[in-house]
Amino acid sequence: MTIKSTGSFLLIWMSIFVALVLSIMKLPAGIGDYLPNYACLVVLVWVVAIPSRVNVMTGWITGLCMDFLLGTTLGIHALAFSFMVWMICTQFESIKYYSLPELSIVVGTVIFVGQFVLFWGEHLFGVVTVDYNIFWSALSGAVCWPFIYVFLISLYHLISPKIEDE
Amino acid sequence: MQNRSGMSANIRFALVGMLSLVLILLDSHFDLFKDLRYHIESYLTPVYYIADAPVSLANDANERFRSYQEIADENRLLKYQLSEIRVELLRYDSVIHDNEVLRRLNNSPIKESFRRMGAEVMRVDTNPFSLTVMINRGAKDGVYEGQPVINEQGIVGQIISVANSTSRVLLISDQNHSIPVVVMRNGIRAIATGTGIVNELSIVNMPRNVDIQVGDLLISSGLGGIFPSGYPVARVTNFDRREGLQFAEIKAQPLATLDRLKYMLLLWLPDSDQETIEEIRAVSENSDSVPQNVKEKTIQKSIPTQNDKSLVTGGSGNNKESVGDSNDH
Repeated sequence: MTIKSTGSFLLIWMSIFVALVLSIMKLPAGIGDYLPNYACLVVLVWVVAIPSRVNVMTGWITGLCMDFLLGTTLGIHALAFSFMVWMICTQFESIKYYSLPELSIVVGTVIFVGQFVLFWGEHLFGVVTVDYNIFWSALSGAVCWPFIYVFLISLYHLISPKIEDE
Repeated sequence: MQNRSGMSANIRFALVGMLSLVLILLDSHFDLFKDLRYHIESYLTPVYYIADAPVSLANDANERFRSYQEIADENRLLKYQLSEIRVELLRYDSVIHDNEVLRRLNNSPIKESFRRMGAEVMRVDTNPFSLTVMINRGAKDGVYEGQPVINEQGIVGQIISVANSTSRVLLISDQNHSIPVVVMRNGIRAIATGTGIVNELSIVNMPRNVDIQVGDLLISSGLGGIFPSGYPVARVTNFDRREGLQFAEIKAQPLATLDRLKYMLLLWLPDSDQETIEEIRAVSENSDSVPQNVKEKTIQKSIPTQNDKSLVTGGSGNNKESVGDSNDH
């Protein structure tokens, strides 16, 4: 039991770390704006799959790491990420029984709303403008999410096959 | 079970939300986490290098597969450009010398050249809401906050945060950045504020009848004490003096291509505050009543010894000639 849970613990945090590195990677001009925020996608995968292990705190810590990595004001990404996780946790009671396309629509919407929290946080003390990239990155997030979900869940089942039974 | 976890999610979110609001407040208004940020960013440096690695590896591979012919061509081109720039420099040296002599005549402080250091932009994503880039120089190279950054085209921005071996540059076209400029053609002072669009600046608070034209070159005035004076900043691209506007709407385009930055130069100003203050004083003295004063001084200086006077006049004559020469060429 302990070995299994350490394994899944490692898997969760390794995947978040990789996603963080990926999300600060700069891609050639223009493409970067349309790509989803991987860290946020990965956290949402874990929240949907194993809400008992991954909760608001996980989202918050990931967001804080994001703040440090990007050099934004501390707490902005943390607030937005924990808000997204909170929405998934509380607003969708029967999310376990959703099909994959439904899930990706939910995730896309949540990311879209989360981007506005991000924008609002930044707006508190500075002039910022919203552009359509918010919409595009939410859309690409919704498209990418199922693949990441399937990939991570199969990895998770490899490591701890029985834990999901409850 | 479901219910309990829902409850705890609510409580957790309330806690965490409050915590992040407090963090946002503390970080933005009181700047409490500067040291923490410095240390954490220093520890994170390897992560930045990992993130930077794929693109730079791809670039390296690209370099390696270039043909000999291409490289030879480029080498020839570069040599040609180098010799051209050397020729320009020949003239520049004499101009600098003239400038020094003239400034001495004028009792203005002589401008020194600055210590410089090259830096490379790291391909790392930064704050999506501001125009910043990360460079591969940090506190261990002596980089400090507020340091001016230029490249071969013009002023790029200033350093806003420093870690051990990386630092972040705020570009001049960020919405929260302004730079004092002078119109090169007629010396009108203005402030160029960023718009958040990467290649656009706006000149704010200018009356509608101000003498600025499309195509005017804006150079830094050095009044803010951060940027050295005399470096090109932007060129005016749009001037709107419609009736009904309170101020003229003037747009300018930064000379440095801020969206395609690769290499830049960090400048170290020698004792920046004092020098600019002295300079301002000198300029204001000169512009008001003091031309006569200066003249008197020079006359007084030149009267006692005949040698001195001849030196001065001879020097200035030479200067004029050399300036004329360089213009002819």
